[in-house]
Amino acid sequence: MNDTPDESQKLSGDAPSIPGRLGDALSGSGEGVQTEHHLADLHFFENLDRINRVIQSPSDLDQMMRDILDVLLSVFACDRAWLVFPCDPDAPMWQVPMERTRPEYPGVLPIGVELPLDPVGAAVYRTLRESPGPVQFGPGGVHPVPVEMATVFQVQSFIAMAIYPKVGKPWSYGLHQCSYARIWTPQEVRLFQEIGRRLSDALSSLLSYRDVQESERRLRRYNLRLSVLHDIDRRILVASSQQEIASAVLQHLLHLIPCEWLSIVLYNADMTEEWIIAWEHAPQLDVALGDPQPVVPNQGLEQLQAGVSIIAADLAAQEGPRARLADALVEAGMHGAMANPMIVEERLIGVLALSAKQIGFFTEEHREIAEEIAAQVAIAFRQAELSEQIDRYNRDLERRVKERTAELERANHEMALFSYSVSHDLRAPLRAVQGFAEIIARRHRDSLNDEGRRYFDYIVSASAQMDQLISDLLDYVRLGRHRIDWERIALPEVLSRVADSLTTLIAQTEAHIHLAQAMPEIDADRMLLMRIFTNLLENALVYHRPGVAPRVEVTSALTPDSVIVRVQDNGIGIPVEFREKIFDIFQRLHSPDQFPGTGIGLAVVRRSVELLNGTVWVESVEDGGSAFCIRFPRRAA
Amino acid sequence: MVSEIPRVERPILLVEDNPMDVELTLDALREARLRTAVHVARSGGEALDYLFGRQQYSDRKAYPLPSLVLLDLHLPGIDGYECLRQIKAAPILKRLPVVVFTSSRDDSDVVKSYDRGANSYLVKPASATERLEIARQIHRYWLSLNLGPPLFATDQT
Repeated sequence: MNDTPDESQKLSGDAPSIPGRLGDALSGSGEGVQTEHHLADLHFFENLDRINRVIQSPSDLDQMMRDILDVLLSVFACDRAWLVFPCDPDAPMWQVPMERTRPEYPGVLPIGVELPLDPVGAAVYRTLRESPGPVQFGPGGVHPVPVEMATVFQVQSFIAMAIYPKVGKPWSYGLHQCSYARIWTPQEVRLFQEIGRRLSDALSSLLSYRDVQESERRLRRYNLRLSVLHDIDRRILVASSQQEIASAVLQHLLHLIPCEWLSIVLYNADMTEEWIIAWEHAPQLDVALGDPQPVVPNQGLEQLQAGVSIIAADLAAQEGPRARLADALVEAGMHGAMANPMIVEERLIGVLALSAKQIGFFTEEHREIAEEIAAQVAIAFRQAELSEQIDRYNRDLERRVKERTAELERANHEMALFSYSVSHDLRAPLRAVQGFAEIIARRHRDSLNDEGRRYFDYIVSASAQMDQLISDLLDYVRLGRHRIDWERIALPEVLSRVADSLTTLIAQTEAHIHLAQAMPEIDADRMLLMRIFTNLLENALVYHRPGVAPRVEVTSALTPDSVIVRVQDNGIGIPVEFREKIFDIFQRLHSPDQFPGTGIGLAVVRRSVELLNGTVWVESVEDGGSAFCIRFPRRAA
Repeated sequence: MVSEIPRVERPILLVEDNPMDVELTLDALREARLRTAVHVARSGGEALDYLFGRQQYSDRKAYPLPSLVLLDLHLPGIDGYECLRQIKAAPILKRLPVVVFTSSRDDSDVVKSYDRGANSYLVKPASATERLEIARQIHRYWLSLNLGPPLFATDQT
């Protein structure tokens, strides 16, 4: 392996004949050393010039790397030329940003894919970093070719060096010789080193340029992200159901994360079932929308419940039990996957589940976006749920109001039937009692003794009183069914009409009624107003002191939003403890032989006032009478 | 040719199911010196049989058409409204004055009665004085002052 003639033979035999190949210059063809040196220098600069031209030609990073490595392959007649990043023995991962090979020795590492750094690789990088110049591995160098590289990659000899672009971590670049155990000449090492320097400069400028571009791209992506998030916000605002929110969000999210499968999966409250509420998808999966599937409790679920997103480079490579959806995704050829938890009040309500055909599709940036969206959707779902609850509550309330209204109408109807029946069924026998008692008391008065006459008089007056009671009771009951006919009414007009209707009683009692002329108009119902003031004036006339003519004064006072009407008398007054009670139905303070009455009049007054949205109360008057005050709103609501 | 029965000789038809009310009304009419005969029908069905000359009332000489109907509304079976409707729908009866005489002051009853063609609406009073007054008014107004339609009148256009 190490003998030189064999090596040179191989070199001349196997290497492709490329003009300007360094190997030609070094293999010697019997000319003088001077000439050789000259030629070598000539080739050196010629080759460096090729590199310079590649570097100076406008291109992007990938193109430049590819071109330089191609030139290296040709200049050094080696089998592989490669770039590695980062050249850092402590980095967890490494990758091959570019590699060019001769067809016989294909690349064995995927371009641009991060790989975990093993101790062998770390040792190589440490060596490169510690060395000021190129390091040779294999024959002629102090370091052997690592066993794995020799067996797996068929490397017999290689040269590599760390390069230090001004942006980011160090890189390394190197050449593999697989076809024979090559010993790198000092000339070659010098050229390799010089190219390394140029490469470092080129990387510096292109990496800075790429950084700027990357920043710009990031800014653009960030702007897009903001605008899509904004769109999602707006969609959430107008969406009413969880379904609508989910569909809208996924459609927008597709712009930010262009993967093949986007879905929102929900869990039931006890985490036994899951179902897809919405999806955006390229492949048809063997799962149905909304179809409940058993939840598979695995490590991933625990992680999601803890609020942590999961990114899987390859779903198919995942160990442990898989959910039905994950199985279906694998079956459909999906590899990359990401799940982001939707947490509401510390409970996992669902996940935003994404998947892509490409292995390792989902990046940290994707995760950031998806987490933000998942959180947003969780909030929106919570709101939708609350708004559904409110809707449900409102519908329920509406239904209950309808039921109550129907019940009330039924009750009112029954009340109407009742009062109707009372007016007939109670009155018919009463009419007979009263009618025949009157006939006997009058026509057969002479055939009765004193006691008989007295008792028949009692029957007559008791039945008359009962008839009045029934009338008043029916009036009171009818108030409940009265439809209020609001109109603008002048109080003086109503009061004088009431006074007119009481002319007989006024004459009998020799009463004096004074109605204030300047009284305002109010919104009220004429029939109710008439009833209120008829009852109040009647009371004032009836409940007068023996031997004292009733004096009644009706006045009014204005407040900003109400009118207070005051009906004041000089009558017998009402003890303080009865001032509330008198408004209750059948409440009387006197026996019928003291003052006639049924105990319904003031109940009718209060009910009528309340129907007009007013209030009524009693005040005492200095000389012993009473004053009934009514507050009416000036305007009906 | 049917001889015209003088209007005053035509009876009053009192339609009333309550026997005590019947007696009170008859008593009041007597007290008001009403000499007209009063025929009492105890139900709506009986009233219609009388008016249409059916069943036991087929003999018009014995049971001539009345000059006035005093009609209670609340009757068992066929009620006052139905009587009123049939009377006002029949060509030979439609002009017959019908005075509703009931205990109801309910607006709905008043409206329904007039809608079905009642000619007057009186509320049964509780006191004897009022009842006598009503009997006098019926006597004076409906049986004396008011000129009723002739029997077997044909429609005049």
